[in-house]
Amino acid sequence: MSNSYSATTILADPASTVAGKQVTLSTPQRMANGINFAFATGNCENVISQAFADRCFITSASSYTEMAQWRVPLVSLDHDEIEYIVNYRTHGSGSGCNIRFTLDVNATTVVSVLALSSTTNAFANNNGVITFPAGNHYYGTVTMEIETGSGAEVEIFSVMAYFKRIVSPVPAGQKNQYNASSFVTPFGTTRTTANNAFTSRFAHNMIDNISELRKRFRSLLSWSGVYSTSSTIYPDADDAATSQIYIGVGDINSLFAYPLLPSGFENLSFDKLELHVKAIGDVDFTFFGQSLSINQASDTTVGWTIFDLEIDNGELSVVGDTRLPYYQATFDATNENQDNLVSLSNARSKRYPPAVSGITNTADAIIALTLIGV
Amino acid sequence: MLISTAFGLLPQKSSCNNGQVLFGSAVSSMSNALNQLNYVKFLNRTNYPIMRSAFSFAHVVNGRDYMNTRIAESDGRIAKGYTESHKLISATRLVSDWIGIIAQYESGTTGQDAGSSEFSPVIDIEIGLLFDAGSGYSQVAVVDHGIRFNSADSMLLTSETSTQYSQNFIVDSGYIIPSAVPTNVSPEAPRPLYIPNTVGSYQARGERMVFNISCTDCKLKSFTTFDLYRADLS
Repeated sequence: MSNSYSATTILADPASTVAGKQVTLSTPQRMANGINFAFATGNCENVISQAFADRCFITSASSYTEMAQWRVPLVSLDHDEIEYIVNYRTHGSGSGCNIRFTLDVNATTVVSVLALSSTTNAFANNNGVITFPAGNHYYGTVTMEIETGSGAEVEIFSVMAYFKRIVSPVPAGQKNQYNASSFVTPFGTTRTTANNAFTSRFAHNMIDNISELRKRFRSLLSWSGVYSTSSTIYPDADDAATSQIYIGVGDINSLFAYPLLPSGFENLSFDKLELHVKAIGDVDFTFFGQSLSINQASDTTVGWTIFDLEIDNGELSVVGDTRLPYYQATFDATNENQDNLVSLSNARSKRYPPAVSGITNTADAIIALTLIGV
Repeated sequence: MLISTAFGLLPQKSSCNNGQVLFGSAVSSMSNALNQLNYVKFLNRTNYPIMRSAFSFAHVVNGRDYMNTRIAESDGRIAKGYTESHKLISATRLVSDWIGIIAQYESGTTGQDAGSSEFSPVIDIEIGLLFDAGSGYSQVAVVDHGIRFNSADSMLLTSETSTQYSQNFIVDSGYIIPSAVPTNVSPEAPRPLYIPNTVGSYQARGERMVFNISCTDCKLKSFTTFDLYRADLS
């Protein structure tokens, strides 16, 4: 009994089982195939997507130095292989340059090192396989560090990461998505291909599976400040190494995510839209129509805060020409954001790291955020 | 068959217990919900914000050339003839085919101010296939020679020139799927981009694609891709 799937036969006809139609085995057969496909491949897409222009992400760090950090939603506790792909080039001698990505899920980590050797525009990639710790988990944290050899500098143009799909067939047994006490049951397609009676167990498992897969998160926006840029080859600030570290007023109405909020979204009874924010100290801000507050122990405390966002559809605007109800989520043009996000009149003269006490240094600013949604 | 976009209610599990008379509508709503998962919820999306330099000529006078943040929507400093390019990677689905895009950009100025000549912003977008034969990814084929946005396709210019600051605008490919797969060999008028199942001897769908984007007279601010929803599939 193989939990196999084929991308060509995942469309089950809802009209084949309604009154007046002869029940055919192809509908449950395709439903079994479709649920295996959905579990194995659903949301195996970019969990990190960020690009950089103007040599703003360049470094000459001689040892591993933290450059950026992102929150990423997991696909499931069975999707354990993450791949990172970076578009980059090196400057100068081009030797001894590496990126080290660390995926952290509740203090269990896996490290992936990408060697960078090209002095022209090129790609580098590597994978990491994590053994998930026991318990319930739906997100991880990815930290990016870079080191360079003597006389070399690394320039990053774009970064992406995704969790690899499970190839057909899905291994036997019940699969936990995020919660150790609930699961998806893949279907044996040998049995559903046979022209046999429709069982109660099939329907129970199918309903449970669909309910569970509806909870699967995707990354809608992944943004990290670039923390420790430097360049000796391009020493002038107008040439290079002036990365954005803090979210500022210029991000209002221009740093976008597009959550999908179709009919029935509001009836889903689980967390379905979360904003993960990494900040230094305390920040009050408005995002996607909601006023949010980060309160940390001190103005040098650096940490992530999670907000469960509520939706007020009447106050939102749909982004055009995509044929689905994708909404525009951004920092709103409010007085709260104008006053509290970093700006000319609320500037940070110091670069993080380290966190330095005082609002004119690094305190009370957002340095990374990720929006995840079902 | 029609694909519902909504998260519809699922049947009561007790209605499917042994001994119950099971009507077809229960199975129908299950298959509807499953199709919604595979063809709506799990449609592929990629959203790239593009960080620009936080350096600001305008504020060096304050002794603070490192602003460390984005102080305005505009990046400014676009000279006529300015060019840039980006390679943005997407992990596609095994059923990805037609892809819509939304691009946020900032362009140069109109010629209304006698001090400057009118800009001609252009954004070209092409899809390439990445393949790792064991020594890392490289582009092995062009999947779609792609589309071109220019002034004839609604790319806008700002009228402000004296400040060197501008606005961000958005262009999109639309969602009207052409009746035939594209065969162009150079960028053509905007339409959804297309990924065939295979390109030459390579599997394309489900693999890593690189969006090769070239900009002239403008700067790219963000780039978003959507697998296009289709209401009727067979």
